[in-house]
Amino acid sequence: MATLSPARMKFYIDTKRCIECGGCEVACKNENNVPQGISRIRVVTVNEGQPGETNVAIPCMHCSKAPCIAVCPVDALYHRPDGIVHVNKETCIGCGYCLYACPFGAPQFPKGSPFGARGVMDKCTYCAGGPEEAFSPEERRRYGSNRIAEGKLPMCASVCSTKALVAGDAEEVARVVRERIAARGSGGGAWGWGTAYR
Amino acid sequence: MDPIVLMQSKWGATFNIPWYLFLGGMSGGILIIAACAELFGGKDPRYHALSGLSALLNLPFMAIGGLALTLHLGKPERGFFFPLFMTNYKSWLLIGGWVIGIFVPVSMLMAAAWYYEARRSLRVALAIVSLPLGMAMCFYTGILLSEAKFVPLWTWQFLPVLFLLSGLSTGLAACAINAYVVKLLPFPARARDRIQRAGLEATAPLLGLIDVAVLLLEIIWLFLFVAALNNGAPGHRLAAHMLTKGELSQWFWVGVVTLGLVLPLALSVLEPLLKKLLRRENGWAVGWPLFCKLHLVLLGGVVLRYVIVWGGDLKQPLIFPPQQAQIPSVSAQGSAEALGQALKAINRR
Repeated sequence: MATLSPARMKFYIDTKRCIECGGCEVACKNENNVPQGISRIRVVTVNEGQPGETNVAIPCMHCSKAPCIAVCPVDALYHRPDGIVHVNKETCIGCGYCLYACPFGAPQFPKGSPFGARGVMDKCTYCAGGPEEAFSPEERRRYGSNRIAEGKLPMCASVCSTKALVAGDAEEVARVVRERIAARGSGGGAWGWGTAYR
Repeated sequence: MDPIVLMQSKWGATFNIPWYLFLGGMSGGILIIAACAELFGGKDPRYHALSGLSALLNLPFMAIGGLALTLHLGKPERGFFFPLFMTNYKSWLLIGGWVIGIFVPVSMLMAAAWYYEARRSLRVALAIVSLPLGMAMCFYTGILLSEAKFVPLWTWQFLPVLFLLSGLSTGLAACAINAYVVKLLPFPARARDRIQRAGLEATAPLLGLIDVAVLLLEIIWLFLFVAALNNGAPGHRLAAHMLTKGELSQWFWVGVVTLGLVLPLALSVLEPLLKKLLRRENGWAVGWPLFCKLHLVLLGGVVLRYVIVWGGDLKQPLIFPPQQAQIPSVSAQGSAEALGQALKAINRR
């Protein structure tokens, strides 16, 4: 932890803690001006109504090796220096390639008529706005708030009532998770645990 | 515990992408045939005309296909200027844009070489260029889809070759239909005269025969594809189930397999039998099997693209629970002592 390296902002969803209250979904839409029909974070329930029912909130996981960035033809998707995956809505052509490349269903598009949906891709911004100048009206309109520039955490993680949604630098997130696991005595899982958090 | 199965659709929601994949693949197949007719047809004017008029067929197909491709974009005006705006040279969408960008002018040149009766050396040179270009056109549509690695149906091992074979079979069918139809089109007088003299219909039975071979290969490849999916990872098995028993099964079995592959092959067997039985060579009485076969192959090509694009709505299931985090030196019971050691280990890190 002593070495200084650029931050890698990550989410971690503690499936043992998520209670499917939906607070993150509401807070995200409220904070970020999210277009209609799009949920930048959504709670998925596994084994509903059966023993072992589990909930997990799925936002954009801001992958270190993001498949969406690899396929985007216009480089509208890119990594910020702190590891947040951003979309530039001014260059996005709305082809939908990222939608098929992403394993988490993070990139979403406006639903349209049989003759095609119009509009560009929308995804979780980690509450870090967009490529425009921070706090500018354009940024506010296109991407929503810029809480990272204010020095705050994403809205969903801030409001999570059980602290199931942990956000922050990967090392910090991993430390919190390890402490919880040690206290709990049983494992908590994450997609890409071996590579993303460390 | 169940994995999370995501269903998302965009390309399958409208007609644009399936029809573009069909028209693009067919145009690629047509250019391969045009090049082969030029290279292996010798000085026979029939094959020369086949080459030029088939390449001419690409222009309306690519105009419709390219328009469908551009208009499906959320921002079509940005897509029109792809050579300026698209910068990620590793993305197959951009590579495909460039393939189309070279493909259309070369098709135009092939057609122009026939119309203006260019020298044979020039025509052969064009054919040598257009043969790999046609293949690239068929292949790239498959690679484009298989680059989305989290869609289990779009496997890179099978999809490009499947699209090549399908493009070739639909291209052969389109060329054979074109051989009959082209006489009826309003060409300038000079060209119409040459078309009448070329006797293009004589090439249609040969094209139909080659199509039988391609269709047989396509059946074998499709079988291998589904078999591989059936024996693959859970996501692949889910995709195979969707294709053969699930939501897409009717489209797959009726549209792709029966109408697109088996029935055309059955009609190709029926055609010579009918000719023997009726002791006739020409006319509608013995010509209808070929007519139906060619159109069914085209129909099968369209349905195949729809099935593949619709099948892409199914994502690789997210394994749940996800990969377990390592519990740092904690025994299963989690005694106080072990917990303390674990926390020390964390803090030391």
